[in-house]
Amino acid sequence: MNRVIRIIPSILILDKRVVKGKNFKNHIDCGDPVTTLITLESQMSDEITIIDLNASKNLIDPDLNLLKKICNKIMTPICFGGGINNFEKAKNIIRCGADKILINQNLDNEVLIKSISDSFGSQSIVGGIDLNVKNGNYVVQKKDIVLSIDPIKYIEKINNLPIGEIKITFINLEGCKTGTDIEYLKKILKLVSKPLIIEGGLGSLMDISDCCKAGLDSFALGAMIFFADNNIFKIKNYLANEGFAARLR
Amino acid sequence: MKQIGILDYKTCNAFSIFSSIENLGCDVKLINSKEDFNYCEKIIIPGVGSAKKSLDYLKKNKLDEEIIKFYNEGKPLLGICLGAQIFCKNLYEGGLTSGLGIIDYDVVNINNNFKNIQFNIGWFEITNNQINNLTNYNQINKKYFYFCHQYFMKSNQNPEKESINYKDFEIPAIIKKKNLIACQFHPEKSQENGEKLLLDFLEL
Repeated sequence: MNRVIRIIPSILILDKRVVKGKNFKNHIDCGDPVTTLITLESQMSDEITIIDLNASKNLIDPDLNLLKKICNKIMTPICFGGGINNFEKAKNIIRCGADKILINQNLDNEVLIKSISDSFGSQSIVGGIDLNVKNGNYVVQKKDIVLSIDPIKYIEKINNLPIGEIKITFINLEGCKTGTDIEYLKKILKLVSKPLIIEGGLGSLMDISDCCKAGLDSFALGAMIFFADNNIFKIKNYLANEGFAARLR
Repeated sequence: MKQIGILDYKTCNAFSIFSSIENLGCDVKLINSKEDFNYCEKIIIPGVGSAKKSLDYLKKNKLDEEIIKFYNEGKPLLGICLGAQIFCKNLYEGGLTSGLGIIDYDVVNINNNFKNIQFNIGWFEITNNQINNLTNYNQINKKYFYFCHQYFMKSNQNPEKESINYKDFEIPAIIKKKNLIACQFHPEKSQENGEKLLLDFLEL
C-alpha cells in the first residue's frame, strides 16, 4: 500500500535536552527541544515522535510541562512515549496536546491498552517494539531484558492488539546510519496489517527510497537528521523526485 | 467580550486547538459547563477520543443539548475528528450510541467498508470540490491535511462535502451544514494548511 510517505523525526529527551546516541547508549546533546521541534516543523515533518528517556528509565511521570510548551508552539502531530504504565499518564499526555501514545514496555498490560483504547480510540496507541541481534538472530528486547518469544510471533501478537500503528526500532542499527535490514523488513511488512513505522539504521536518501520500494511508507529518523547533512524537506524532495508520494505543500 | 470556546469533554485533546486559536490572536476559553456557552460566539469541539465514552460524558452533563441549541441559534461551530463525528446520527465506536443527529451520517468502522484499511492515519490531499463558500477556500483545495481515525462518517445522501480519495477509498473530509463545519482531519495538526482553515472559521 503506497500511502503518502511519512517522515517522522524521532526525538529523545534527556534532562530537558534533545539527545541522540548509538544502540540506545552514549547520548550526545543535540539542542533545545522547543527550538528543535519548531525547526523540524518548518521543514515539513509529517509527524514527530518524542520519547522522554528520564520517564522511561526511572518510571517517573513524563515531562508534561515540556510537552505543553512544544504543543503550544507547533501544529504537527505528536506521538509521545516514555514509561507510560498507567491510564492517568496516558490521559495527561493526550490532554497536554499529544495525538498518540507510544507504548513499548507495557504492551502486555491488556487492561492499560484497553482503557486507553476505550477512552481515546485505538488510533491513539502506537505499539513500540525494540529488536536487537543476539548470536546472529533477531530478538525482542525490553529495556535490558531479552524476551524468549520469537520476534515474528511477538509482532503478530502486537498486531492483534487494539492499537493503531506499530513502530519497530532496530537497536543494533540505531544511530549507525549503515542502512536497515531490508530483507527482514519485508518479512515484517507481510505480518503487519496496520501502519508500520521503522527506525534504526537509515542513513542515506537511498536507504529510504530502498525501503519505499520494499513497500514501507513511514520512517522515524534520528541520526540521519542530527548527524548528517540532511533535512526533512531535502529528504522529501528526493523521494518525490524518485516518484514516491511525498507531501511538499 | 465574546470569545471562541473550546469544549473540553475531558477525554480529548483540547490543548492543541486552544493553543492554535490563541496563537492566531483570539480570545479563547475552555468550556467546562453549560453556563460557559453563553460567553462564546463560536465553538470548537476537539478530537482524539472514543465515541461512546465522549457522548456519554456530553449527555450526562447535558452539554449535548447546549451544542444543539448553539447550532440552532445559527452560531458557527467547528467539529474536529470525533468532535465532528458526534454531529452524526448513529456512532458505532465502543458500542452503538446516538449522536446529535444534525448531519445525516452514521459513524462506522473503516475496515467494514474498505477491506484493506484498518486505520486512516497520515496526510491526505482533499480532492473533491464541492464547498466553495469558505473565504480562503482556494488555499485549502488540493492541499494536504492530517487524518488519524478508525471510524469514518458515512452517508448515502450527498450534502455539501469535501472528500479524500485514496485508490478506491473515499471518505468525507469536511462536511458543511449551515453554520456547522465538521472536519474529519485535524486542522490544528495540519501545519500551514490547517492554520488557513482555522482562519476561515474565525472569519465566519
